Amino acid sequence: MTPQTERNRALALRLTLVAIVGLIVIFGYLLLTSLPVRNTTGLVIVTTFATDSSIIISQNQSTATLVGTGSAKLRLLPGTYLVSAMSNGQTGSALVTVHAKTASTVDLKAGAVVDRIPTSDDIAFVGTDTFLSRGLTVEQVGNLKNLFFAYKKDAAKITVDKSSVTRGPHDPQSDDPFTLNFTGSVDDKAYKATITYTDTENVELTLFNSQTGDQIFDQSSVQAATNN
Amino acid sequence: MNTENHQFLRKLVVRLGLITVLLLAVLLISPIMLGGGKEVKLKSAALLTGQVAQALDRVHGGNLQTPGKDFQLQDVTYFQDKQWVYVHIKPTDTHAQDSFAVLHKKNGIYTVVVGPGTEFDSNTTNGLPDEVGLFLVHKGMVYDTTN
Repeated sequence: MTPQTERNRALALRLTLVAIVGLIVIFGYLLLTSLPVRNTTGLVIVTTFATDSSIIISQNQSTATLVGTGSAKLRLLPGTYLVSAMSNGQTGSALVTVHAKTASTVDLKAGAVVDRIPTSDDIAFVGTDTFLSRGLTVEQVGNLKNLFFAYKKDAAKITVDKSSVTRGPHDPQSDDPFTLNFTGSVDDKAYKATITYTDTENVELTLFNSQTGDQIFDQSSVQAATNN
Repeated sequence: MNTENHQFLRKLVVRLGLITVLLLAVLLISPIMLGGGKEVKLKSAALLTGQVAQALDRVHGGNLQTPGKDFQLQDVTYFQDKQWVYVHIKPTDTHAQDSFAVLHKKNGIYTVVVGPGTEFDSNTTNGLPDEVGLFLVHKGMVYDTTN
């Protein structure tokens, strides 16, 4: 073996060793930085309703941050996050609670909201149409529904017994209000009620306990519009 | 001698090629080690500003607002054991209009349930707790759509 060959071998050995050491260092660095992240965070896979939607996340005491477009795979510290997506004026949002070393998926639909205020539209009204044939206007029936809603905002079903509706006495020569009396139920809890009105817009609803006769609610749509 | 040199050179190239392949493999494994996810750390900010910025994003059409730089929260008023909050959103741009919002705490996190806007219809605010609804009425922010 010539000295030149020996020198080449030594050089080759040194280069190989340097490359191996470099490889070990890089692998070690990746291992040391990746494993703690993997152990302290949770994986969140976000899919949205549009490929071009911007995905934003936030928390109670943090800035809102754009984290991706269309879909995203995120490593997040444990906690609850508000995730939202927006595309062409459409939005969708959801809450996601992240646990360490756990994967979660969030599929954001257009129009999805985390939290919404209930409205009278959330209540199933049965039998209220009968008031239209008893002299109330559509606006008054709408106000009546809002008054029932004001009485019990989390009611699921409010029923008016159509056969129970009777008109109260009214002197056509006087300015006394018109009245309608009826019975029904709010989520299966029976009530007696009186509607009074003097014009074609407003109504006043008074509810009574069907057993004791005690008044349990009394409000006009004018009050409801300004007080609630 | 030339043949020996040639052989060593070939061996060296093969070794370095192998090591390069291993390096690429390590770099490819790295995202797998993270489960494929991108690590995201949110910067700390004043309470509610993140959610308000997120809600403003809907209004401003994808232009994410920065708390402190683009807007500030004023007149923050809590109701019902801090379950409900009213905020006045003051833009730093003096030409931009002030807006208002109501947030509700759900599962430990606040989200905007009314606004951001300059006034709200009574159908929207009827579902708020009376205390919050009255506050908005007294602020002159509720207009009636029922009559």
